[in-house]
Amino acid sequence: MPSSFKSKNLFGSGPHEFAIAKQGQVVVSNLTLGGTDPSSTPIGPREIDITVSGRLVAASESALWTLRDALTAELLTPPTAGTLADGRGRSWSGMSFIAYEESGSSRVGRVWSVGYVATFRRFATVP
Amino acid sequence: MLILNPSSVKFGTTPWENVGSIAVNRSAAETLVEWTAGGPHVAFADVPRQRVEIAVKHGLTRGDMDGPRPGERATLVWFTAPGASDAGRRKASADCVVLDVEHEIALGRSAMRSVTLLALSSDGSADPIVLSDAES
Repeated sequence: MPSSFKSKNLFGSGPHEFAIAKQGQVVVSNLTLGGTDPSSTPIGPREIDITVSGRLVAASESALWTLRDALTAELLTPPTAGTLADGRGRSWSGMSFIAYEESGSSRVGRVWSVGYVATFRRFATVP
Repeated sequence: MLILNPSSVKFGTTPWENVGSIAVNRSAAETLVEWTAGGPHVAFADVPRQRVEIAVKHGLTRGDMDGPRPGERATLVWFTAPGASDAGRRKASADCVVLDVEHEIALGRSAMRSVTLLALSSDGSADPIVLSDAES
């Protein structure tokens, strides 16, 4: 089964990998909370971010734009949560697609392709 | 592509005599290589930036005060034939910029000039080497 977001195969045209960002407590310095000591205070669990980095690959420029448009069409305002699946048996529910960034311009060789990083977040408070 | 003893070679309007070989060398100027989480092997590769360089070696029978210079741009034209006759004769051409000009001189042998040229594409997509019938 291919990777997916909200059951849509957005990344399958090319190679891609999933990575989980830093997890754990958000800790702030007590100085920023008005204290005068150098200690810190945990204020709660960090929201989980998962990035999908890869390359969209197509046979033509227009086909590559179709892939890009399909991805960016999922950048909703406000974001709506869905299930992100890595295609290798692991999935994360309640994930919102919050950012899409291309790594430079598209490249044309044997095929048309562009690198990207897509970022998903599980908001603690649903927007 | 390697052409030995092409029948005639011109750079712009200047004929280059006694050409022993023309080598068209293609290399990757940028490669895209991608892996996946599935294993250690490359899952995608492409070459979106390429260089086509042409190396011309020709003999000089006398001194030459006015050879090609780096940065000079002109069309390089040469003709190829599978045999000694004109049958199947083909014309090759490329819009080129001279990169390097070097000379080898050995006692008892004629001097050799090596010219390396960078071939340019007309639009970035078309192959820089244009092949056509010799009559065109």
